[in-house]
Amino acid sequence: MILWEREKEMYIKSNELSKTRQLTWYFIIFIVLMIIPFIASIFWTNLLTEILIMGLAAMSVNLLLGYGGSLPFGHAAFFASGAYATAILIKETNLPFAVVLILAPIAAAVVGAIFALIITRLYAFYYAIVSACAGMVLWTLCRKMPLLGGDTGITGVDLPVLMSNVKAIYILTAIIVFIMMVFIRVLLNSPFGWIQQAIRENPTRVTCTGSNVLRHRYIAFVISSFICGISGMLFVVHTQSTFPSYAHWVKSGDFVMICILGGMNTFIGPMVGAAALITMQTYITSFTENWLLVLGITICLIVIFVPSGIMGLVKDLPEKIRSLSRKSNSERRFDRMKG
Amino acid sequence: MGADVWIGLLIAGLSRAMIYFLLASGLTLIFGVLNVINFAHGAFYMLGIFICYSFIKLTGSFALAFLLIPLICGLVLGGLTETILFRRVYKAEHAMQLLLSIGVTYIIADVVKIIWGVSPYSTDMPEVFYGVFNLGGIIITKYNIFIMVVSLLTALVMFAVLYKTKIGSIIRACTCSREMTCTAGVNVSRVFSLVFMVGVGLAFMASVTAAPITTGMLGMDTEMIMIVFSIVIIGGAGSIAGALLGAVIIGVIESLAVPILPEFAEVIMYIVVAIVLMFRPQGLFGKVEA
Amino acid sequence: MEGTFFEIKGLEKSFSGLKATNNVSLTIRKGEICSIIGPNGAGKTTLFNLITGLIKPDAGNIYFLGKDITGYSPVEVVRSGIARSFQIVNNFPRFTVYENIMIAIMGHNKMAMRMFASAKRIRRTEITDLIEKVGLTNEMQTLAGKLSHGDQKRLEVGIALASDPTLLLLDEPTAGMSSNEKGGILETVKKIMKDHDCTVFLCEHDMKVIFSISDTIWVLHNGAVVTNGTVEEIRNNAMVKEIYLGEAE
Repeated sequence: MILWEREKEMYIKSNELSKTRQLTWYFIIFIVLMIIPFIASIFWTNLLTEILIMGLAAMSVNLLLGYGGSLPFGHAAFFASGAYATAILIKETNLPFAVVLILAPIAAAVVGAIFALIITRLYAFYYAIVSACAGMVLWTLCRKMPLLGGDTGITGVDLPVLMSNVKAIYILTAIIVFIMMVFIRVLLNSPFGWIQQAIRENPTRVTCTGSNVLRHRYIAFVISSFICGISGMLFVVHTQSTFPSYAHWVKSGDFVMICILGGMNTFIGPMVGAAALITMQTYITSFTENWLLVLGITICLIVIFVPSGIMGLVKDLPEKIRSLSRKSNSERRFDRMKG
Repeated sequence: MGADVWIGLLIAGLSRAMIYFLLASGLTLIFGVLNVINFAHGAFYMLGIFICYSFIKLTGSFALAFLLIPLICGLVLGGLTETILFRRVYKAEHAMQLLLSIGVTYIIADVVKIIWGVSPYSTDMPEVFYGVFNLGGIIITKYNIFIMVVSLLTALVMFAVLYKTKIGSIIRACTCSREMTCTAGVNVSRVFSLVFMVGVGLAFMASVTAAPITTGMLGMDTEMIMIVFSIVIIGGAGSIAGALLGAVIIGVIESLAVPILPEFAEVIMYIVVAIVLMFRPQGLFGKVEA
Repeated sequence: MEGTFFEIKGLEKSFSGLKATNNVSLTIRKGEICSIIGPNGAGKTTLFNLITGLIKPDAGNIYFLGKDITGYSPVEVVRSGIARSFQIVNNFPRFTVYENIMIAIMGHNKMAMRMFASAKRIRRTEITDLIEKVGLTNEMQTLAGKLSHGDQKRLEVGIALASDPTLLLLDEPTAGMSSNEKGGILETVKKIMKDHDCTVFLCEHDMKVIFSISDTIWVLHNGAVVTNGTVEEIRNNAMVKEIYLGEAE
């Protein structure tokens, strides 16, 4: 029994240590993020803004994809909802900017709550296709409803004077994305987050232990759509315009791809994936028009050769190196035997 | 609006439905047997329309196009895609399979752009199909008859092969349980290749059949794939009868919605999907998940 | 009915014409170890699934502590105080033993919606105590999928126990175990019964196990209850021997 008490104590201590370590990391990352616009060029600041926004959208998708075991292929709908809500509220009403920032993601969450009524009852491919269909409904609405600007979208969204420069937009984005990422991390470490992962592993057993799986999937979906709406809103702040293509399933597919590229089984994977993809896209589109071809080939290569993504590779690297050296040792022994 | 207008719309809807059926049957076959969702199906369709245009420009013969393109493209492109790409993800997570097929879609879309450019292309209606039949006041074009005959024949052939031949029962066995069929000594991977090629061949058959009335444009792949998926969902994944019924429902609704709500025909379609799924989450003819 | 601990009346369930449960009626008394036996395919697991709400009966009623719990969903059944372990191991293989029990405890305490607590810090004593009760303290940080079969069965019992049940259903708890392991888990079950004041309803194939611990035995054959009685009565029952011809210990 004494041994057991000691083990419990060690377990508690290890967790507490990591809490202080975690907070230190949060602090460092925040400081670094805030310094960047003052040392980097406008080009890179802009790029980083876009990476943070797309990374946040991908993280919202990964809540359901990597951690929830679902296939959300329609999240562009919530990205677009947040975007259009922002654009319309700014152009058509006189609400203060801060209020718009609060209302827009709520609009996305409302859309998410409606779609989730059907989607969260489904599993696997049905979930994927229906969420894609739901996204396309929004796409059609964005194109056809005159209120929403039609095919040409909405442009010329004015920002308050304070926000009318790249640095300010970046800082706003960085602050909001940072807060949301801390929120997501807290969420994933909470009972809510663990039940989410348990549902991914074995939904029947979760039901049999007393948790309401349907309700949980629903709430997780709404939270995810809220966060995705935030990224849509930030994107409008970044580009001062919004277009129907933001709701197309191709965009939803982009989010999923970013998750898988970066590593959907890790927390930071989606953000890394966003960085990789956007950097690659900026570089490649600068000298060729055939970005889709490159993208398609990249997707195929990743899915076949690196399905665990960049962060997955990074995490597995130490083990892979160990096993490689192990193999060569036994190979050497075998060769010696053959003599 | 008179009854004859509605009937005209109905017939147009049924025609479109038949094209949808050809696409949906290929997709549902691939899904039912290989358990893989092929997003690239719409891209194959688009590719087929462009290939048909160029083929007919070169040879002038629609009949030759109709016979050769589905066969050769199904064999070559279907076989290549399956062997090089899809085969490696059978055991992977669903997300990977979906993403792979999206990657293939992008590749095909850009290849089409590279070869044919961005302008739309139209194949002319073959002379053989000029003219209409008049059945007691209802006008049906010869072309409509052609589409319906082709689709119904295809459906009949599929049912016959699946239920009356040895290879058909092997395919149906794979749908139920891959492992059992393997242990029964069947070369499952060859069956998979065959089914994939047939599925893709069906997509190209849909292209050739639709070519005379469809303008080939970039972006039609993403449009089409959503419709075809909705049909597969409504009909039930893996069911050919479901694909037929789903295609008819969608085709007719799409057509009849034109005079009423022209802008929102797609939305109506998605609402139909939602309604069907609320009452029967596995689709009309689908099997219930154990 | 009023007053009885647990009772099933006339339960029926068919699958595509095959009657898996045929007019089954049985009672369980509080505090006893009640067993149900029957050859493969007799319908034992179906019965368990019906009781725990995973499938809905075609006809008949289930009563527990005076309440009619027929048709309850699995969540409602667990909340009423009935928990169940699975015959084919049904845990979270990529989670550690600690995390497995943690999920079950969270389910019991309705914590699924708590978003701002750290999951690994709460209810720690409860979770570790439970792990201790099923004898898995040494494997606390081991992934469930990597446990030995016997330990996985212990984990099964642990997950069920986390719901603090009044009635514990054990579906073949000793299946696939060596005789040493079997003795171990039976001791654990008896201790749990004493500490938690719960009743046990188990189904098993191993006759030695059944005869060694049961208070009452029910016999199921082709989905119907054939007979019931004490260990002595069933041991000497000719019909039971016939049913088990070829499977006797």
